[in-house]
Amino acid sequence: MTDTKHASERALSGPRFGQARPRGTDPIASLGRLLGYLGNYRWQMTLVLVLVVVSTVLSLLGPWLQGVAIDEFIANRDLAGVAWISIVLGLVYLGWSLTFMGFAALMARIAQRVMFQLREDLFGHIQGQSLEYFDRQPIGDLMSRLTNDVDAVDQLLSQNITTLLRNLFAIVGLVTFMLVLDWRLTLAALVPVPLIFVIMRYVGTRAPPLFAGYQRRVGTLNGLAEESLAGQRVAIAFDRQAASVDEFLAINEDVRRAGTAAYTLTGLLMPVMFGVGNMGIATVAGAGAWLAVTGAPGISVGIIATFISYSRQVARPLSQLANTYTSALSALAGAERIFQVLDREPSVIDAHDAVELPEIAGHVHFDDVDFAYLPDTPVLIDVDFTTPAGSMFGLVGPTGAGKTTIISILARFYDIEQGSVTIDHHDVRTVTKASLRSQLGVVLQDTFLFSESVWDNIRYGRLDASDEEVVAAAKLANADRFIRTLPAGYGTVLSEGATNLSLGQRQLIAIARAALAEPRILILDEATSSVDTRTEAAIQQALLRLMAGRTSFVIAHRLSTVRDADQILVVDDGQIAERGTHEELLDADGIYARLFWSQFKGQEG
Amino acid sequence: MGSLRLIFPWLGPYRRQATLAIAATVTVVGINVAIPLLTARIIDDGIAADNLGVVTSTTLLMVTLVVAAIGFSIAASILGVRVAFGVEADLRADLYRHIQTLSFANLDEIETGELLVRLTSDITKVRQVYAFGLSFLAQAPLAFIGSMLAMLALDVQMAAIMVVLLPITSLITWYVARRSDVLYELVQNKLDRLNTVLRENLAGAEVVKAFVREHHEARRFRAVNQDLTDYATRVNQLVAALFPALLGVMNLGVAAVIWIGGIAVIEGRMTEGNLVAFINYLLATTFPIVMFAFIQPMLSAAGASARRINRVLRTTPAVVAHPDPTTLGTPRGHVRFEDVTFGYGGQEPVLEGVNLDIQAGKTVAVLGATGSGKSTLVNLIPRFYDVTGGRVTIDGVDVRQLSKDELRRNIGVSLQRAVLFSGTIRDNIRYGRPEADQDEVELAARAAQAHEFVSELEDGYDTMLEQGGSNLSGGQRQRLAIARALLVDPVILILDDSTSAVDVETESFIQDAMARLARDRTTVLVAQRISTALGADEIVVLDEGQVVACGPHQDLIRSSELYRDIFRSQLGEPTDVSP
Repeated sequence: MTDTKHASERALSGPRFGQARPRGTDPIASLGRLLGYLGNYRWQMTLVLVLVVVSTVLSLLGPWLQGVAIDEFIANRDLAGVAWISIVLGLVYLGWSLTFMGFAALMARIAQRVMFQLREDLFGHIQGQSLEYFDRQPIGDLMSRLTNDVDAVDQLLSQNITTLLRNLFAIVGLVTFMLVLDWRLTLAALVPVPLIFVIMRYVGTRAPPLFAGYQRRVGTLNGLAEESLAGQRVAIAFDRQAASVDEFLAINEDVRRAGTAAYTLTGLLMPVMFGVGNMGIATVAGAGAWLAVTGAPGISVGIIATFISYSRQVARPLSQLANTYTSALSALAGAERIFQVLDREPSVIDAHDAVELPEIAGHVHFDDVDFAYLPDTPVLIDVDFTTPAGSMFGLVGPTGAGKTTIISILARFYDIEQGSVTIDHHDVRTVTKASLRSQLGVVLQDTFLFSESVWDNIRYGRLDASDEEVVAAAKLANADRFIRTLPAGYGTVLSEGATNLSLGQRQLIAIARAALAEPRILILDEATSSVDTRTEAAIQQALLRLMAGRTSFVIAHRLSTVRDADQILVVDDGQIAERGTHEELLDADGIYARLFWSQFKGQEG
Repeated sequence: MGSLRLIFPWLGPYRRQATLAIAATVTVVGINVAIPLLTARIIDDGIAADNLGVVTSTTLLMVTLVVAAIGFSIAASILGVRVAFGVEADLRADLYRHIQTLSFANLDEIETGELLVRLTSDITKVRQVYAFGLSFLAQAPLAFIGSMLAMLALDVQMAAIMVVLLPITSLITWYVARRSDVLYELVQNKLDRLNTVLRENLAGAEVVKAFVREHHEARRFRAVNQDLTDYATRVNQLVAALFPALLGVMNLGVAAVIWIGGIAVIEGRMTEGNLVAFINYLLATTFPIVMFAFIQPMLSAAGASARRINRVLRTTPAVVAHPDPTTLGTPRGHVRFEDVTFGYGGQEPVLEGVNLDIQAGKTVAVLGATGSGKSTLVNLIPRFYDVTGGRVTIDGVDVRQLSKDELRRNIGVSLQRAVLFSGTIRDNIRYGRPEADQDEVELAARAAQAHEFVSELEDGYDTMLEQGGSNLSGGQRQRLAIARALLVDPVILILDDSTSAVDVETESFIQDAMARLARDRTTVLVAQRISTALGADEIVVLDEGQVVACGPHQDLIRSSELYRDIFRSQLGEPTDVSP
């Protein structure tokens, strides 16, 4: 995952990774927007709510009916009654199961639909962003928003919402049922409950910093592992593998300690929760029996049995509520980060009255263009030039001079502050981006290929191209021969980052891709830097044939690449230092001439 | 359960703690099984017999046992956490150490992204099994057996109800586990696919925009997104239904127990207390079954992770150190290729019958078309790969007989892709020799023409680089990589197309400086530009894996058609390039 040329060209000119918009956290606002997504499923959500209430009531009716069966029918030796109430009990439980399954399945469907929409919105939104956005946002950070944060929201929608609803109703219903039945046994059942709050509070205050520390260390470890793996070949070359092991082991040990500490603390919760349930059984049984033996009215074996069942149920919803609360908070933090992405406006947008750029001849005019990626650090100053339609235009100059910026502005990847850029007398800001870019063919030095087949990668230039046309483009780019030696020829799926190809081979495929698009203006930005010069010459001749009568821009370090250009611009420090043909520039004996002759310095020595 | 067999051997030194955790868990299970029996005693011997003493003593006993159970399960939990994190850390250390023994050929086969997943999420999955699984695996079967025994003790006839319930719940669990296993895997595949589309879309934003393929990308994404949503909905619905289904079946069992048990109580064959206890045991058997359903996907995921981890652990390093290495003494840097043949991963040979004699102290440039085998050739000298046939020697010694240390100390390499690390520029330059002082660092940086731009930075050599050096331009990165190789002060220096992003003038300065620095150093250059090669003592022209010409510029320009062609192509003159 190499960074773009744009990012590197203005590297070190200032801080790059500023946050888009630093804001305080506001989980409630995020919750509101999430609920907005659920709003489309209003009726289904109402149904979920109704089913949750019904199933909660049914689940509480069960233990009560058990008590009634013991006290009313078994104690009175009523065989028909026992049969009757058992059937009612069975139906109640059946109803509970069905309603539970109903809301669970329904909620799962709603949640996934919302997730679908959320991912679509995110992707669509990111598609609409200008290039500047990708320079500024490290891909790792964006990926984490699009995967981890989306995951957290998925968790919230798929599990937390129903768990929250279910347990809230369960607690309220449970206490109500118990109070209606017997207040003394209710008290007995609730005696151990404060212990839950004590442990929750204890863990709740101590765990967050421990987990934050643990997560931070895991982050460090992952970062270290990622970097060391990415640089593995360098480590082998310099025999630094052993050294990296020591560093890794130290952090690994840190992670172990921090993880043990954090999880030891949360490990207290389950035993205590479970213990509280059992404790409730003991207090209910003890208190109930004591009341019964001392002859207190209204206490029977049946009601004690009912309350034993209820005390089993007290601890679970409380602990689940507490767990859900913390995970819901972190999910909302994730939702917030997602909404931050969605709130970001693209910087380069079509004017509202933008027109389609008609098929162009390729007459490009830069009129006193000034540009800066960051305020106060100008990258281009007073750039002024004209290319007649159909000419070949060379751009040379040291790294960081602004060559790539010139073509980025031509493709309107960025908007300029001063001056104007016109193609066939249309200002690029007055036409749609799509109609402009679809007539440009751009090949960059950091070649990006997709992990698809070679077919698909070349066809990316023109989606409806036939196989024959793809092969023709590959031949033109001198790529056909090596593609045929790949394991599955054109059907070979390139691995991510295409490590199964050399840099030069990747560039050849990228050139084929651009050639297939048959652009009106072709832009080659160091497109052949890793290709040997003979192959390059062959490609150039073929491209020139293809581009006959069309405009092309060629950026290169190798001067042989631009030698035949109709005009060569020498860019230095954001300004045009020299311009002219190869011969004119040599005669002028300036920067270009110096660069040219330095190529042959070694010949005598 | 096959997954467990894979994971268990990693317990290693934590066997004792694990045993203690299991013992504590067994005690807890015993107490849990006793609770319903004690409630039955309160009801039957206390209430029914009007005996306040039994009520008080039994209640106190219950409270004591519950408190003890809390203590034991906390102990089990603490031990479990220690074991789990211990195993995780040990396993990760082993894996990392092993990865450090792998060489280039191994890395060609396992992508670094994959290795990262092994080191992070795969290991975490194994840890989770230890953390949850350890106590659960001890607890569930015991709790189940304990409750069954208690039920049998209370009433054999009624316990027969389990004969009906158990197969139904097992069948449901088995079905859901099997089905969700398949679905989870599908969901994971779709998710991976979605993430790939996403990552490529972000990394290739420029390409997407340049070709105006936003709609195409959106379509691609929607297709995967839709697929993912469909499968995720199905698996979530399935799994969500499991809990109510299982508990529903067990609850129907409770209704049946009330009926059958009620009749038994009325007929005097059973006490009320025992009936209540029986219901409690029945519900208690549900817990292990539900838990099993919960832990099953975790187990199979961990099993899959364990298999993947094992695959890495069992990868044999492609380059193995010689058990009894030879030393070079005072190395001169005389490199020879003797009839060398090489092919990647057993594929067609990339190099065939290569014979080369690179005299000590000479500079040799390797030229050739893209894919002709230039990088492959130089990668054989520091033994990044082992030859398939023939041999490569340094001062007459086969490189396979030299120790890793010896090779790296005498050979400095600047790779085609200039990978830098996060950290200061200084630390990056002295990566190959961490003990180098500032003067040495600066000397190397000056020779690589990096000193000037480094000193212009606000923090100079202390400037922090981002990962991969992404805050530098390609040319700057390459110059630092060259400085890094120079600082090692090697006898043999290999520069693999190290100046492709550096302008020609700067490049010629670098060559002058290197020539000044060490006249007796052997230098092997891979080059695209003829200017890089012109200063060399000898130029090797490769074509399709074979040496087709070799000699100084003056000779080659006369004798080699191909070389003349390459030379002319650099000057932008017409060449004979019919492919």
